[in-house]
Amino acid sequence: MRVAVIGAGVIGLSTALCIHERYHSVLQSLHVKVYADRFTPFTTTDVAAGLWQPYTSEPSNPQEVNWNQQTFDYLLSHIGSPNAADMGLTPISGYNLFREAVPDPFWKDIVLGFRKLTPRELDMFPDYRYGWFNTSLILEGRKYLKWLTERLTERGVKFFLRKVESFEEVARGGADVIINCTGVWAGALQPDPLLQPGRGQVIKVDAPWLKNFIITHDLERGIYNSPHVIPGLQAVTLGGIFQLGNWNEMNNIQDHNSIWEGCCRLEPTLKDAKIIGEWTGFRPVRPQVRLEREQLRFGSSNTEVIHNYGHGGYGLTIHWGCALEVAKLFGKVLEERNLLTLPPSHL
Amino acid sequence: MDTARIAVVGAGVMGLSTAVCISKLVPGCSITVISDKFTPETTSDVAAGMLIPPVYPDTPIHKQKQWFKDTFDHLLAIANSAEAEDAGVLLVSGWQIFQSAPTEEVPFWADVVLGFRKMTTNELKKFPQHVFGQAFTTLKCEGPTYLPWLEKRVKGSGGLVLTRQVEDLWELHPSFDIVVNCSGLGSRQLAGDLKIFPMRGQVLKVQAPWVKHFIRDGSGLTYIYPGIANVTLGGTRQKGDWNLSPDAEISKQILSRCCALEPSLRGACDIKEKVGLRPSRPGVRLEKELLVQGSRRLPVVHNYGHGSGGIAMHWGTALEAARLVSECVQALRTPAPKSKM
Repeated sequence: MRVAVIGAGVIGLSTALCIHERYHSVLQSLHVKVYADRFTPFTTTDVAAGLWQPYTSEPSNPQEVNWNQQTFDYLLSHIGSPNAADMGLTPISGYNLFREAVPDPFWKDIVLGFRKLTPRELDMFPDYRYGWFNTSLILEGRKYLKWLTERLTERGVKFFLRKVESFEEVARGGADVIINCTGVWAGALQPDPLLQPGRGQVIKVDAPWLKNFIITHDLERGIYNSPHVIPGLQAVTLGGIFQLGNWNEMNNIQDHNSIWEGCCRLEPTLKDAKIIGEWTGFRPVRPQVRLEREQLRFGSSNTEVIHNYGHGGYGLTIHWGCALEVAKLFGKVLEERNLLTLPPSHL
Repeated sequence: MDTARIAVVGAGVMGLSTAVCISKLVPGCSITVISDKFTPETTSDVAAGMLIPPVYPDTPIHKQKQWFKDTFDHLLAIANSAEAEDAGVLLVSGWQIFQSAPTEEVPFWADVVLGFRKMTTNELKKFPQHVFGQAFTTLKCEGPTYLPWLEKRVKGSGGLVLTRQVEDLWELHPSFDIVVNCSGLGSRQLAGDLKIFPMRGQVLKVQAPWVKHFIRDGSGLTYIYPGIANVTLGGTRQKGDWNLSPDAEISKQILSRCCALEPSLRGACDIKEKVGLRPSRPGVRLEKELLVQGSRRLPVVHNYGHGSGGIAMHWGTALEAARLVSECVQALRTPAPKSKM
């Protein structure tokens, strides 16, 4: 069984790992190859702040709620391991701030210790009148991708730096199953009018006195278009940009100013923070994640494609639940092809 | 007498903050801070500086609460301002956990810190040896940064700073009109106070920047306090032990106890050992005393004996000490009643 995973962001690598972990010992042979034109530190995942937090509104696909929960529980189970920080993982608490009262989010019982903010806490943020406090997790993209790469390499998975031009090319190269984790660029392999870039820009600074995340919400401007300050394992990510349809990969000076002014207003202690770098990335925005099978016919054979893309600004947040779902679909493919090793029959 | 000349003995957090409070509260006085040790060699430099107060058996609770609240409010304003990094003050969230249910589930300071509540069952799963916990957000005030920041303020308002070992408070007479005694353990000698004794504390300062929460065992013996540039791991409480040299065996035990609470600390590096002698006393001595020797009079305001609550209580006690100094200054300026003929 030859599996080709296209894409080496968090979705591609975690899906590859999930499949290999579950099926390696039940198949006669399983060869997994990862093809991508961008590897860490050049993927969208590398730009993300890395805070586990879904959008505040309910997803249109109720399955996404389960996938978010599965991801949080999976990550939480690694807290308490001495290697958690190597994975890029650490617990973090913080604030979500609003200008008016809002209903509790669907994930309030997934995170730990969810509660509303007290008046004295709100006094610290004069522009905001309502908010939440909870404990969540940081999963830092760059460290996690490195960790995933190491786990995959240990398992004999091979990586190829290559721009894939078509599914056909990969199929004719010998792949039985293709896992499509191409993120915001999925449209190049198969047009998808529902997929759009949600451009984001972030400034990373050195501000080690900041231990809590602060995320503001402007319900009129929409998700991520309001300042946020998110401490990572070492640096702090400042953000607040979400531009649908903008494919410009260059850092923009107006966006820089908007982020800087907004975050300094929110957190005055930042005024002297040293800037480490600035990055732009494209969230793969879609009304819901595309996670489904598709059979493509090239020549005389059927190639299974399992799509797993369109995770918007919550890729790290939902990745493991999606990987598990892909593994389930992959299992069905194996069943249909009678490839799963049967238990020894009684004679 | 025009300008009251005030000597503050001691340059730890108590001496420096009291000097600052006096400069704000008492007009027309000159302040000189005198100490043999300055930052980074004071006890305040070793302390993690977490605002989680102890209980002083001999001090009324309402007083402790007022001192803590004054300190918390003062530092919270700094933490939310552009000065936070320069002053070494930051907000930290975390958990205090108990291996057996505490007699007091809600301590006197619960409504002073932010967002105090009991931990949920899910949160406690992270600590399988513990059955009860409290979650809250509090402040950390770091001596090595805060003390220089205070010292700048003392000098900025015209105060002087003098390095000198004072053996006897009378040395300061008649150069000074009022003495403020913030000498901590030094008061055994300077005030002849045998109620004050060292409570030795050993800590490790390590690099573990991924740790974002404080974790404190309710016994107070084991704690993990993330700071700006390092994480403090502790600790010990050794009564009557004056030894300032770190003990390697104790360091191993501290690391082991902390790793049991937070396994990722096994990856901590650049471990530095520090020892401080908490100036422990059944209650804080915060009062006026008039020293008399023959015809000589020396008003003294004592502000010492804060034990493990120095940083947690410093501003509240400094304010009160400054008020007492103000009373002393008033008394000196009031002309003596004319004797009856």
